[in-house]
Amino acid sequence: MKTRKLTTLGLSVALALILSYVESLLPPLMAVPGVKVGLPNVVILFLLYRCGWKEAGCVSLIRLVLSAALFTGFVAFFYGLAGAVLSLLGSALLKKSGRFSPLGVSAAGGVLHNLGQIALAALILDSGYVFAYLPVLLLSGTVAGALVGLLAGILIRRTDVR
Amino acid sequence: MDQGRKKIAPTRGDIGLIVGCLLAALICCGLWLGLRRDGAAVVVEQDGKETARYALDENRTVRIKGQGGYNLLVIEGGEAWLLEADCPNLLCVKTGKIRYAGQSIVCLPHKVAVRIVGGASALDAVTGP
Repeated sequence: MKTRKLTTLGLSVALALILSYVESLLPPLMAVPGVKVGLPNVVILFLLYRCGWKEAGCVSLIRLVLSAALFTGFVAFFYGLAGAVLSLLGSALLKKSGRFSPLGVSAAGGVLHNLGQIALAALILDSGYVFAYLPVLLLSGTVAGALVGLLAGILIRRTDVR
Repeated sequence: MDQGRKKIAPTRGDIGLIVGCLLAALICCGLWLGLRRDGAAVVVEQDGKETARYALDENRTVRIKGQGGYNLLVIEGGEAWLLEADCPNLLCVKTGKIRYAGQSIVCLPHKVAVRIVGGASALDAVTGP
């Protein structure tokens, strides 16, 4: 691995982690678990475009482990993982199709992230009731994903980091 | 410079995708509104175990002693809500009133959950016991 890439990925982990921390400081937007902007995903999306899905996945995983250990805890790790895996998979495929800009790729990622989490919640809690949250989580996933996509789009356009 | 630069402007695909997601949210919302049923009882769970059960159509006020604090449960007019609590974030109070089978209010700091059960909920069909 080139030193340049190593540095980029290392800085990305640090940036994504501090963004998790910043987000954990914000008051919850709504009394529904899972409604948040997902600031660290700006970094992940940026990496997906600038490096590739493997790099984005690695940074995402390391970020999840660290933020679970530092801020959110064991259970949150699995929820985060379920969301992150589904979201990255979908985003990478959509990006590859070439028909979407970061805006659309990220909006889909946000929705998939929430779907992954709600599916895991249904499994863990052994209850279909969690799907009552589906409308609000679909909506918040779309909006949050689009916001993240806009931010990442600006970064991708205006920086030379690779 | 690289391929990331070209595909920046929102495409027609983006708009279709976002509209599609919002439509899906709307459809789910409609399903929820159509399938929800009024509940019959309020169940109080502490640390995952049911500790009390009250009929939803009898007005009452209960002080729930949770871990490290209290939550004040009010049942009135077929609705249940937590009027006050001494937990740090007051998310449970902000959740507001619930009345449909399957809805719940959770106070994580005190490990207290209040949920509505019963009625012929269409969602019961989906639910394992």
